[in-house]
Amino acid sequence: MIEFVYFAIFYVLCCFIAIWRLIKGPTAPDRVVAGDCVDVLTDVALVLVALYSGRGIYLDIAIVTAILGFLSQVLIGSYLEGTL
Amino acid sequence: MNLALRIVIDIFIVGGCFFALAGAVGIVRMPDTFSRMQSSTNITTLGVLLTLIGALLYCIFVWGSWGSAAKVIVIGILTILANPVGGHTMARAAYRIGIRPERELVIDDLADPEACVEPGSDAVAADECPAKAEQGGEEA
Repeated sequence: MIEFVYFAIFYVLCCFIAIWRLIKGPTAPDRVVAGDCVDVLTDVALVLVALYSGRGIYLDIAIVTAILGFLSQVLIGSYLEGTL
Repeated sequence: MNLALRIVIDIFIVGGCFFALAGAVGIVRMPDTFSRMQSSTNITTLGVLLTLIGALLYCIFVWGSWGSAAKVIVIGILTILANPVGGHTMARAAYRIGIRPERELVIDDLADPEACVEPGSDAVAADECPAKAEQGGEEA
């Protein structure tokens, strides 16, 4: 269906709203949380692009992105806390 | 394609888009760090899961592909399991490096010096904890 790509573009626009906080954020946790939101929104946009284009390979990329986003958030949190 | 199925899928995806936009606006508009974390969970729960339910219905009933449906379910389960853990880690790190909410906390369990001792760390790391240093300063 053609309308899935419009929903994917909407999610990418939400990514840009979060990127504004990623650039401006006064503290490091703000930037990390905004970066994780960009990651999760990119996952959903990839799933919608997979439905639009009819290719299942984008679903695999979305799985890898979800795992890497979680690992990066936990690692940066442990680093900031000093217990890494 | 069945019209009722298409309407149901679009309702799910539009709901997910609404929650994603609400979370993204909340990240920009909220006043302090912990409020922004709370608003980001809006994206990672309903904003993702409603859209993934729509994608799951599309994979099953339109593609007829159970493999793609399993991949979508794996993405949903990863999101459900991973984001509370990551959010908890980031909130605790934000507290430990000295960020406080704008309003006064009603219950502050991390200010207890016992809570600063990690299970695997030695006493030197506990001395460097800012909450314990503040507590000791108040007693002296």
